[in-house]
Amino acid sequence: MAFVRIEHDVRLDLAHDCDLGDTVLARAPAIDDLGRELGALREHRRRLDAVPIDALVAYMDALSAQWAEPTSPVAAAFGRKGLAFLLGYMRRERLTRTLDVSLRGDRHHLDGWRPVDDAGAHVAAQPRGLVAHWLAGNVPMLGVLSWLQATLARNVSVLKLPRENGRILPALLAHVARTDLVANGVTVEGRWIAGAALCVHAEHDDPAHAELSLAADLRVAWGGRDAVEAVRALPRRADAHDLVFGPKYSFAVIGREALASPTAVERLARGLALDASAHEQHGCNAPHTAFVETGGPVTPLDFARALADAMAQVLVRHPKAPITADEARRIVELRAEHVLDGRVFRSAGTEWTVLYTDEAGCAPPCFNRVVSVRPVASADHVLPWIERGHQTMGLAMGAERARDLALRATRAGIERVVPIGRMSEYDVPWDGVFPIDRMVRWVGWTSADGPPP
Amino acid sequence: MSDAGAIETLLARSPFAPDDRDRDTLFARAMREAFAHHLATNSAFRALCEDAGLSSDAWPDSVADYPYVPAALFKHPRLTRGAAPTALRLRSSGTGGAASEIAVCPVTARRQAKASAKVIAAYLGATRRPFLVLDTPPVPQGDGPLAARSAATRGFLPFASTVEYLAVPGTDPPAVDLPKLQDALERCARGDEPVGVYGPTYALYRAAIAPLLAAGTPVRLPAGSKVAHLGGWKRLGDERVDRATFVRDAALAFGVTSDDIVDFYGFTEQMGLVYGSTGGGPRVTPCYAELIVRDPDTLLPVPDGATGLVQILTPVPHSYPGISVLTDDVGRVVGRGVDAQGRRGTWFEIDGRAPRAEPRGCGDAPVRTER
Repeated sequence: MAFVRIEHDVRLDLAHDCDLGDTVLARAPAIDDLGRELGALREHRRRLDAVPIDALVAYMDALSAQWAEPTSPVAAAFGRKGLAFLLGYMRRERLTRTLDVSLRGDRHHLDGWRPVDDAGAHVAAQPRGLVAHWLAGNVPMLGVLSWLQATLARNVSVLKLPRENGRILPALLAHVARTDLVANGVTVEGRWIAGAALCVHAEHDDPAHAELSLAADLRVAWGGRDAVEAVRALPRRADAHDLVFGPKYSFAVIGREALASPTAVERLARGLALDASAHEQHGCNAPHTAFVETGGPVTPLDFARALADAMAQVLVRHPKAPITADEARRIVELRAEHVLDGRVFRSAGTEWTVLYTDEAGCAPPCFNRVVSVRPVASADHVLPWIERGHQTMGLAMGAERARDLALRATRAGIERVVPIGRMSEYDVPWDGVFPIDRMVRWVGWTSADGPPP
Repeated sequence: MSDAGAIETLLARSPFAPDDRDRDTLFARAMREAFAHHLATNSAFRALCEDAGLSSDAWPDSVADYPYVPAALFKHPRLTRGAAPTALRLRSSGTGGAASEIAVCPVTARRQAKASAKVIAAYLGATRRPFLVLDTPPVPQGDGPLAARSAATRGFLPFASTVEYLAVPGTDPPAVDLPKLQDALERCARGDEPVGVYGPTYALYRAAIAPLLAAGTPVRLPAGSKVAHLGGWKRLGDERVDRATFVRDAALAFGVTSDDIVDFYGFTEQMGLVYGSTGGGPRVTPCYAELIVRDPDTLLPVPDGATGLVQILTPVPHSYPGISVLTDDVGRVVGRGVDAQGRRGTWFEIDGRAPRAEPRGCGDAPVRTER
């Protein structure tokens, strides 16, 4: 048994099926010598050493603009797969900020030596080497980000694709390979970038995973508990590093003062609806519960109504992806339970659901645009319900209270506190780390010309 | 026309009569009678119906427009707390989660028995015959509820002239004493009276069919003998035993034709309603029930042939509102009308429980709940 190579193939008919089905996999060639493949990836990657990081960023920015064109085949194929999320991340401003924040305040550490002091000490960020990515299926664009970050840090990538949505990344890489641009005054050929990435697939029990794991300098695991634990259990070299983006839970907290006007309520509801609709709520940053303080000008129940209106509006602009029978059954069950024990606001089909009860604690995630609204007498009451594994807290309240609650919430386990409406952004730090920082080796050089210590 | 008495009129009918032309009309009247009763007697059911936009002032034109109760909700005490006197309490296996417990009143019990007897007779024949049952006697444990599995077994007893229970007491799934089974089967095979063999699907295969074939001791039961089984296919499916394999092996182990092997489908929330399949063919709804397949995205009925969530309507339950249940199963309608065996109804296939969607993204962290 071995990995099969999933070719970077722009001709795939992705409008109908983005999954790696049996037919695609049966046609895919087996990789009989992973070492040779890695050698070829490294050859391509070498060309990137001469490309300044600002040129690479400019290349991605231009690519983002191309793909955003309504006539772009990428937009046509992936418009409903979270493409807008990816394109937003690829914009120059976002990438520049992310790189600077992640790399000791200066992305140019990727280009060469930057002085640390006046005594001749310098540091630079070198590629970590081979980054092996085990990607999750139902938030496909997060997997693209994983590759993108590794590439900006000039690593080579082997991407183990999931079956679900597994054809998206190879298709995007095919588009990259065909796109040569003069970026920031530097010619960047797409094949240098795409050629440094290999897409593979194997069933979860295939020994090829262990071979890849042992070759990897950095293992990046995305997905649910079983998926990331399976990667963690693979053998690895003692000097290899891990980045694990495992299962997380996110929620929103709304202070009574944030509901001061109808406009504010509408804006909050709209933001929360967008956050809960992105990636059909499968992302770790998607809110499943909104805790709303009582005693304000708008009751939590009225906020639930406003949220329902907003969910309906968001559905018009962001149509729902199809769900499975089991997912539909879970939604129908939850709705029925809440008819008996609370209140339900919902679409006619399974498109979106707002559940209201006065139960305490976080509602179990149902995904697929199902949000529970729960009243709390004080936002402080949420703190005991926070635990490790909770990621993003969307927060709407006065600045002083927000600052204090954010500190106490992060102390309790939350990793990220952002305004409601921005929960679905991919940001840094993420899950407690600066991912690009983990994708480089920090190296030092002290000039002999410097003053003696 | 008043709907009063429509349910009893319906239950007096033959389940699959090919010339039953006003079957749909009578069924619609019986469902109105059933909905009217439960709307008036069960506040939780009324709340669910009101949420779905149903009221007794305006009945839907089509039974496909009636609301449904998801099967899992029958563990909710507000829904299953009946006002009628209880003859029996039924408990589901709970394999798909928490078990539901249902109060069965004498009216419901009588209707269940009637529907069940008529449908089973259509598949096994009305003549009583000796039965080998791969289970223990179906009695409640102490004052507790009767397990759904036992209730299902009870449905076959009216067709038995004698019953021999072959399961080892206290085993679940039922284990069988193989020499005792072989002895009983050989005794039946020596006679010329058709017999019945009944067991839960998994137990019948694992405790009887597979061991008989492995031991090289298949039997040839008298012509006209029937092998009936009921229950989920999940465990056998996990062991890669599909329906075709089951039918082939069962025919070989008992020396019967594939048409003598009847796979009954049913569920606790509509006990008494069973749907037979012979030789792996499609099931047919009797006139006491109708099946709707719903699209997971729109929840609207899908065209025949398309797969979706299975809803079954029947007016049989009286003491609890199990008259329109969205099951845990997926399936599809494969035809309508009179089938090759002369049974009129909706032909359908059940694929089994909707496969559990396993969140593979990064948002599936468990949460502590205080529910």
